[in-house]
Parts: sequence; C-alpha cells; structure tokens
Amino acid sequence: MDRLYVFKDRLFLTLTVLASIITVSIVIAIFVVLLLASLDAIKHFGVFHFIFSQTWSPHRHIFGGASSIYGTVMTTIIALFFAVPTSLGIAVFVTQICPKSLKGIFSYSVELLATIPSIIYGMWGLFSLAPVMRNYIEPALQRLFLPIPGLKVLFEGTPLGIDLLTSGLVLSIMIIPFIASIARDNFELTPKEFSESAYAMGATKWEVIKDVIMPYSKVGLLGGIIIATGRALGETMAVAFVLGNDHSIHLSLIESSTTIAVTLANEFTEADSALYVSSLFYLAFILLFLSFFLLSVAKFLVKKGVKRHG
Amino acid sequence: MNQVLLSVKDLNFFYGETQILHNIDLDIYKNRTTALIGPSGCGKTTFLRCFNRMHDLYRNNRYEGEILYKGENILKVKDLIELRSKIGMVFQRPTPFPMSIFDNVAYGLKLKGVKDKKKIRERVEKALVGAALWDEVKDKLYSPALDLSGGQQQRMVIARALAVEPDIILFDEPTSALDPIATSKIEELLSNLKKITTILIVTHNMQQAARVSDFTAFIYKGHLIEFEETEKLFTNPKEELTERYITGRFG
Repeated sequence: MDRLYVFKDRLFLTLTVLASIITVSIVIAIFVVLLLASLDAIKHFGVFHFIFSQTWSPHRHIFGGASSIYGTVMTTIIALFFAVPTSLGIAVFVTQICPKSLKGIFSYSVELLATIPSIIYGMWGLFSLAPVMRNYIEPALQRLFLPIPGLKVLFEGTPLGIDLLTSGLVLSIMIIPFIASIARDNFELTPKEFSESAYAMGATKWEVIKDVIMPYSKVGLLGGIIIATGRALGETMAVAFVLGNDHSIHLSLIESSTTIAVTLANEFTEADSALYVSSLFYLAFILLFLSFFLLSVAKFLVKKGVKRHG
Repeated sequence: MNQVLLSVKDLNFFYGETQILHNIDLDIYKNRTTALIGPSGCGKTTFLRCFNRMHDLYRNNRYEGEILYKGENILKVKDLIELRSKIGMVFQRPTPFPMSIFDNVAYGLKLKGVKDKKKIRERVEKALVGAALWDEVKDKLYSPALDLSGGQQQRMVIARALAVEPDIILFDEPTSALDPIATSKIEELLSNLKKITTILIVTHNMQQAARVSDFTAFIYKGHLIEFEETEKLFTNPKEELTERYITGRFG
C-alpha cells in the first residue's frame, strides 16, 4: 500500500517536471534554431545595419529589415491607439452603466469577436473596409489634416485603402476583445467598498471610475494591453490582405507597408538563395525578440505594480 | 442641551419585496455619538446606509418615511452629491484611494471644486490633526496612502471625511478590520470627534458601544427595540429583549 503511494507520487512528480522541462526546452530550442538559421544574414549584414536599412532587394541580394520592423511597430501602435480607448469604454459601459439584463449580451458579443478566424478579418478588411477607407474616410482625413503643418506628413499620398491605417484598424478590432474582457474583469475586482467610499463623498459615476476604479485596475489593464500588443505584433493573415506588402518606409499612414509576419508568410516560397532564407529567419528572430522583450517589460511592471498595492 | 440634528420618522426600507426596516423612529443629537447595536443581519448597517442614501447605488431598493435634516426629508433629496458632502461615511475596511495621503484627504474638497491651494492645505492639515494622524504623516504627505498601516489608513479615511466639515459622520463597524491597538486609537479619536461633528456608529462590539457612545439604539430583526442614553441602556434596559442581548443570552 505504502509503496504504491510512493510510486504514484513519484510518477506524478516526474510527469509534471517533464511537462515543465519540455515547455522550457521548446522555447529555448526555437530561439536557438532561429538564431542558427539567421547566422548567415547576421554575419553578412550585422545587427545595426539590418535593423536600420530599408533596402530589401532579393535580386541584388541586399536585405534590410527596417521596413518590416517599421510596419510591424506602426500597425501595432495604430491598433492600440484605437483599441485601448474603445476597450476601456466597453468595459466601463458593461460594468458600470449598462443594466444587468443586457450585461451578458454585450460581454458575450465582444468575446465573440475573438473567435472570428483572422483570415475572415483579412477578407472583411480587403473587401469591405478598404473601399470605404479609400472612398470616404481617407479623403475626409486628408481634407481635415493636410492643412495642418505638423500632421500633413501623416496623411500624404493617394488613398488606396490598402495601407497602415486600414491594417491598424483591422488589428484594433481583433485585439479589442482581449483588452475589453481583461479590463472588465479587473473593474469588477475593485472592492465595492472603495467605489462606495468615493460615492459616499459625493463623487459622480465618472469621478469614481476615473479616481478609484481605473487606478485600482491599472496593473491588470496593463497586462491585458500587453497580451493584445503581442497578438498585434505577430498577426499575419488579416494584415497580409490590407497592407500592400511594400518594402519601403513611408511616414504617411495611408501608404502601403509590410510587417515581419507578412513578409515571412509571403516570401519563403520565393526565397531562392541561402542568404534570402537566412534573412527571413533573421526577421523571425527579431519578431520573437520583440515579443519576448515586451513580455519581460510587462512582467516587470506588473510585479512593481503588485508591490505598490501591497 | 441635546439638540436634534436628524430626526427619523416612521422609516421603512424594502429590498425588492422584503421589508428590512420596520417603522423606525429615532432622533440623532448634535455633537453626540449614537451607537447602533444588534445581532448580525438585524438591519443596523442597512439603517445607517439610509442616511446618505447609499442604497440608491443599487436597484430594487425603496424607502418609506422621513429622515428630517434641516427641515428637509433626506429620502426625497434630489442632489445626492450635496447631501453626501454634508454626511460623511467611514467603512469597515480602510478605503484609501490609490493616490497620495494629501490627495486622499483633499479629495472631498476637490469634488466640491475648491481651487484655493492655501485653503486646501489648511483644511488638510486641520483634518489630519483632527484625526490624530498629523504627527505621523506630516513629513510624507505626498507618499502613497497605501503605504500606511491599516490603523493609519483608517484614521486617514476619517480625516478625509472630516476635511469637508460634515455635519455628521456615519461609521460602519470602523474597527472590525483592525488590531486592538489601532482599535483603541480609533475609539479615543471617536470620543474627541464629537466636539466638532456628530457621530452615528454601527458596531458589533457592545463594549465599544458602551465606551464611545452617548446614546445607543438596539435594533432587532429590523425593529428599533430600545433607544436610550447609553449608560441607562446598558445598566437598566427597559425591554427584556435588550437585556437578554446585552447580557449575551442571544445574538
């Protein structure tokens, strides 16, 4: 009897340890493989040059990742710019304003957004959103912003609908469910006594949300935003449809661009030289590094935040 | 002598179809401490939360009757924000807002739109002195309130309530989350506070009621059983139910 227990315990221990070790090894293995596969390109172009050069010319065998990196970062920033305020609005509405009976419907439909496959977002972006952007929204933005000296550069060019802005919008819709549901959960975690305490001092609903609920949920919100950012950085299919795959950097938001993920998806089949393949791996390595770096920053901030809250 | 500040007349309170409070009549005297005692679930906290209309935050609640305050029925008041700046409240657990000590104490003034920096500073200092916290925090007014100990946080919350110079402060078991030393500091503070304001306190601790209050109301199953000067109620209760409760034979 006793020995059976000992055996079961050991078996369980071994299985859990094994599972953890395998996970860690996979992560390390991916890093190592990507690094090894990109060694050629790293030796050939160096780190600094690869990150800051926007020449991506397969027939001249010169590869610089700047355009892909720029597109990745810009689409993500645009996505966050639209998604964060919208998600906070949704979370405030669902937890503080909307009647209890409708709460379920709203929460559920926002979460449903997360279940839509990204290829469908891409198709929607290309066939529905892009024409609207091209014909109505982008010309309107140009009328609005082109006369303003500082903002002119962001809206120059011919509106095509296949550009950074459209991609950012599609991405923002894709990440809203993540931020909104995490924000909602965190708002609901704020102890009732704290918001009641502010109400009892004569605060309005908005003041309670702004001064008590939001600051209390800060750490959790940040976590949600980071998860969403990670998702936006790596999103491929949806963006591939509406970004135009253009390896050059334009400051204007209504110009085409490309992202690391899109470049990888499009160009592996065409890569005809070892250096080309290696450069693509190099890009993949940078993408992994970006996500990894972001996650570390998030963990650090969350840890600091938790400490502050005691 | 005993000047009436608030007068509760035939108060009934309903949650949905359930009646929680039944026909309560009671006067709250100015610059006195009134304690509400009774077994758990008797409705004492529900009663307390009628005074600043906290029940309005949730649906399906209904008041009947009157709580007269300066000639007006609190239960019919439209401007809750103005009402709540006159009637402060302190909760069971300390509720420091995630901001500095100074900003916490100044929060009520900020809500009222007070802009005069000098006036705010004066009021914050006065409130912290009033809450017996000034000496402990005067050198770290701008550090986060969350860094204070539990007892200090509760005194800061009391200072926050004091800063807007309310006519009455409602205390909902303010020491139930604190250790004995912090509790005795708060009790000492309560005895001093009635010089500048009026206190209505819910407590589950009968010794505490006896120590800090001038008047005590015993509530049982939503009915006010007895309301008397504290000394009389604890030494010579009129009702048998009160006597059984304070001698620990039920509840």
